[in-house]
Amino acid sequence: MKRRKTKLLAVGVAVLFIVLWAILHPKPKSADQLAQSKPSPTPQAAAAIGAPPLTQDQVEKNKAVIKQVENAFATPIAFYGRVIDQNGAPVGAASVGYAPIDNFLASTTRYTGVSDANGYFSIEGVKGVALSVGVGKQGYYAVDDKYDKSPSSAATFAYGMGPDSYRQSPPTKDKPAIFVLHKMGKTEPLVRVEKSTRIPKDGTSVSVDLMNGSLSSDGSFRVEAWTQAPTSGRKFAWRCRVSVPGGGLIERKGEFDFEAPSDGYEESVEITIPQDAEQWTSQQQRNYFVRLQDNRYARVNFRMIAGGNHYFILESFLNPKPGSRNLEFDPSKKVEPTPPPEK
Amino acid sequence: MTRRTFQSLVLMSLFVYESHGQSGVTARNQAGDSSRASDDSDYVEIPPDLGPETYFTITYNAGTPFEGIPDWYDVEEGDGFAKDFKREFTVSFADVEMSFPFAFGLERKEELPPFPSPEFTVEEAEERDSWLGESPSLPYKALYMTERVTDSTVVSVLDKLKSYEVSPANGDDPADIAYRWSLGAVTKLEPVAITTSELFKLPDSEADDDTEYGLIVPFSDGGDYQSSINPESQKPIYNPRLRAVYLHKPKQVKVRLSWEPADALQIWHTPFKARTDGETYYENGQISQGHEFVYKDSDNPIFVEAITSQKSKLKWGIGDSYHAIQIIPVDMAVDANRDGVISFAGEQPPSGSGSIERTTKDKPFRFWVNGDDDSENKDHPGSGSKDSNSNTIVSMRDLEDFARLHLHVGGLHDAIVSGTVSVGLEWKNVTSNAPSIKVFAAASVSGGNGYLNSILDAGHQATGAAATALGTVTNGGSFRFPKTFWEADTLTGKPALSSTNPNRHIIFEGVTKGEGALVLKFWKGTTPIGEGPSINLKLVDVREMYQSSSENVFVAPPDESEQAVIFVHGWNMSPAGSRNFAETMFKRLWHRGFKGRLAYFRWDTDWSDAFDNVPGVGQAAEAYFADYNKSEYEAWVHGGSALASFVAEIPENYTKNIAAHSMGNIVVGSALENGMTVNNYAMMQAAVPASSYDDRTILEQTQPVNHAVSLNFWGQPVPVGSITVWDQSTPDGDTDSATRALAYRGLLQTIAQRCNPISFYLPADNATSYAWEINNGLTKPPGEWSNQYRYVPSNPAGQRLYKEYGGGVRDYSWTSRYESMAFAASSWGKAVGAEPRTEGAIVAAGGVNLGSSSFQLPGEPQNSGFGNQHSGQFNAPIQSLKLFYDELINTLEVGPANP
Repeated sequence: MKRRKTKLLAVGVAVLFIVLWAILHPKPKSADQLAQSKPSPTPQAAAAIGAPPLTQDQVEKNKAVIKQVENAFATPIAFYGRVIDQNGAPVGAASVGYAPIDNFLASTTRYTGVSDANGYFSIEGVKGVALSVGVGKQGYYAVDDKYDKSPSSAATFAYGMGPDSYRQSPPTKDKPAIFVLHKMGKTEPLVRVEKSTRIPKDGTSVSVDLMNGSLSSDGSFRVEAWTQAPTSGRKFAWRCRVSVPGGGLIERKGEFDFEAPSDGYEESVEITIPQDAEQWTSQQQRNYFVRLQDNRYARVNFRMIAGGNHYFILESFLNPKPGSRNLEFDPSKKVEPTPPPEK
Repeated sequence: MTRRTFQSLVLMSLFVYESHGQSGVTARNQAGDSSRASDDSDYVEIPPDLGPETYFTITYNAGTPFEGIPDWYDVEEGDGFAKDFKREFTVSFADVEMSFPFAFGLERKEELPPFPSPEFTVEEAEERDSWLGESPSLPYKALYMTERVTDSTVVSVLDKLKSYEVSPANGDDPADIAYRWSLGAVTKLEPVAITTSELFKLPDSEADDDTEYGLIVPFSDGGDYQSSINPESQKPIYNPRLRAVYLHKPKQVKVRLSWEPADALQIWHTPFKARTDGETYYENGQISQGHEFVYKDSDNPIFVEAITSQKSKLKWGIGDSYHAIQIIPVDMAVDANRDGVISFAGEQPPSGSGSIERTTKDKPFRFWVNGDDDSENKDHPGSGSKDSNSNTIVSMRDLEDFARLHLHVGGLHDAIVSGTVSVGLEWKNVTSNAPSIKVFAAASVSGGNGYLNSILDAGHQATGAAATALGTVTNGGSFRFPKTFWEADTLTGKPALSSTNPNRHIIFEGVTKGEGALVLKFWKGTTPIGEGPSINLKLVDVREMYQSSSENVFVAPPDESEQAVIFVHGWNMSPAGSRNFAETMFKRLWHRGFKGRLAYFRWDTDWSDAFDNVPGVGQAAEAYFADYNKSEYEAWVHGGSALASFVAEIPENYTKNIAAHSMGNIVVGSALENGMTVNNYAMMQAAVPASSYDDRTILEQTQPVNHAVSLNFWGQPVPVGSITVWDQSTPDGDTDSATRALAYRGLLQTIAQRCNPISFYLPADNATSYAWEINNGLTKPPGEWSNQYRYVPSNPAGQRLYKEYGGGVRDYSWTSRYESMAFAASSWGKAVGAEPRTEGAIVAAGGVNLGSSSFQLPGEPQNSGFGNQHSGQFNAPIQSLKLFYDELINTLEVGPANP
């Protein structure tokens, strides 16, 4: 009898405990239930638009959100990657940089590593809501991220936050993330010239000597521009012509195209932007291979800025050896520009 | 340069003596021998065997005949003040046709400082107006007559030893204070005298057979030898880069001027003439090689212009006989025309630049005082510490507060390297405050601007010997470069100063405000021997150099180009912090050659220093969620109109270009939406939904991930570490037009009519990719922090976005679309600053990918550009940001940038 009473008492206490717990710790609401609850604006927002202050329930909910964010930034990260070159060959001894996003809006931790002989690298034991990774090596060009999740030299991977159009899903050990570096080819001693100069709007030409960047009337790279004042609104018609007297140019499309073609050159090329162009801009950028009159070759990055101060910028790499079409540049082999002759 | 007066002439012992007929000069030496000059030649040479101690007969006023070397005249104790030691000498001329030179020398037995320089005057029994008198600091004085004297004349030399009292109390021993007069004839007669205030005796290492004296001349800047005319005196104000010399010669003696190398100098002369209409003018003329002077008014100088950078000789002579002085060209230059290249005055400007490096009083070189704190490579706004208080360069970042100054010395190389001649800087003509600069040797051998554009070069400058100041040039003080500055440095590869390496380079920081001319000076020992050119410098508080919406201290420079860049800061910036960002941008654009106006706009963002203390993730997120949306609301409602008003104050003829950072782009968006028009608009890491500008569905993020929420034993939600921000419907995609009218999507689609926006984006940006997206996902409905705001897509049209208060009260009204966007309407896609694909109103082709390897910042993963840095263009040191600021300049079309 006594034992039965004790059991009943224990059960009653347990039930009481459960009931009390259920009252004091309600189950979390679903999203719809959350939406239907009675919140109040933040104190600041309330001041802005006259809403009542937060309820205690909302304060607690907000704390849970913070906890969620903290957990997201504390997500364990294990990352596996591999570096290859443009031909698929592994790149060993590549420097690797890791930047886990482990801090909210403040500077984050940085780590470094190096790829093994087969190009593999990894990092474990760090944490963050995401991980940015970049690779590099002397003798290789970077392949910039085109943000289409194709392999590049740097990318970001989702951990505490879900992947999206930019953040990629985390790789696994069996399927590491692929990074690409473009191996340098045979480089040549080239003359590098960088020139920015104003140009008249009436077609008066400005010529640049690609051997030294000087402006001279018989310079090898000539630019003319015609720019009209806007007739209505902000847009205006403009055009420019780039030409290589006695030689020619051809557009250079590939980022790693370093060999100038042997033919296909035109002495001049025009860029025309009418006022009502669908994608009207006041600037245009083009890359060209150039063949000079004396059969020397160069590649030129040209940018015309028809608005504002009306000027153009060019960066050129000229091979001083006539006939040589290799235009791959190594800064350590840079040829000093030849000063213009004194007049 | 005003005409040099004769008060400080340095006399070359060069005289001509001429006689005709039986006239001549009787000279008697101490032995009583005499000689009579012949009359057959243009000039008479006193026979050398008479020696320098040849004296002319003079009669002492006391009747004591005085011949030979006189005794010392002792000063008695108590003599002193204004004691007149008057001596009279009778000089006998025997019908001398031309001027006969003789020199009075005053020797002091002992050099007893402060023995004052005697003040010579010469009185004559008969008044003649043909004396030239002078009181040089040297112990003799030359006098000569320019008219014929045929009789004897008594010359008194009055020596007034003023301000000196002979007294044992002064430590004087009367026996030591003795002096004597001597009268000497010049034995070695040379044709003509060239006098100038700045001739100095060359150190032995610099003198040669021809030249014993030198003259320091600033390098010509190709300007007129005559700068302007003083309107009061009507006298010329000569180009300070010329040096005036006075050619003294007897009237009918032909003296030929020449110089070598032939292209080294240009000589000018200026006779003063009055025109017939009464207006005065100065006829000028270039003197050609070998020009013979016959008639020369020695009251008017000739001018020496140094054309080439190496030393040369200026010669004057009669027949084959000549005398010469060494001309030493020197120069000093800053980047006065701000084209990135420093050219000395005589150098042709770089092809195409079209402007010469020249400062003037009206157009000084303006630079700011280094009054901020860049320690640890970070800026510390509000810090009381000033970098210029330190004697070292405090960090690489500090280097952006330095400008370059180049020196050229065309001669005296051995003397300078040995320390016999010292070179330094002084202020003169200070017109305001007391300017001062601190100078450092440039680590770059070429004196280039690598310290601003290269991490490697900056490292060399900011560490080691180059990081320690050589000294400070204060107003009223005198700074001299240490000897080591001119010596070779094997560590840096800097060669010693020489004819093949005549240039030296320094960088300097402003220490105190002020305006004046900084002059290059030369000394031999303690004696000044010459001055080079001066540079007009104006040192100001950096706040005077850019316009601000919150204070009015800006002073537009006279040569400001008609372009404005208006900087709009982002969220959570204190007033000091946002001003610091503006100043940083100003300095970096300035160094890249931007010559327009930087205008900084301050708007009323919430801000907290919580983030400065690197709080934990939770604290930071909480602070962000509490403030961010409200600040966005403020930006929409008030920021835009205030910005538009500020932009309207920029001069109308200026191009107006915006550079906005982060939430500053909300401010700009609001202003544009309400009609503001600008030329170009750089959207830097813009915290604005991309859908505002580009309504294409491709921008909708549709990659939901199951948001796993487990319950713990107590029923509390325990997230598994994954935040999902793209898994919910948003008003951007709503089919109800009333709902869409409260959403971001398409709001700013048409702003391209009023500006040319270009996005500087960074998909890995810590702020616009993570914090912004988390805020967008969690603080707006149906996010869990959405408080009273609701978005229920299944509700009837017009009732999907609303506010819900206690008691089930629902409010469907909004003060504005801005309120709904800021608090309720989440975006269906990324912020512009994190979205590489934004088009629509934004020129996609011109977008700048800050994640490109080209923009690599130190410390970020390889080839990731800015990495995760939301504010790299402000926080990273300038050396890694040349490409960024060039891109900004080109985007805003205010270039071209400097090389």
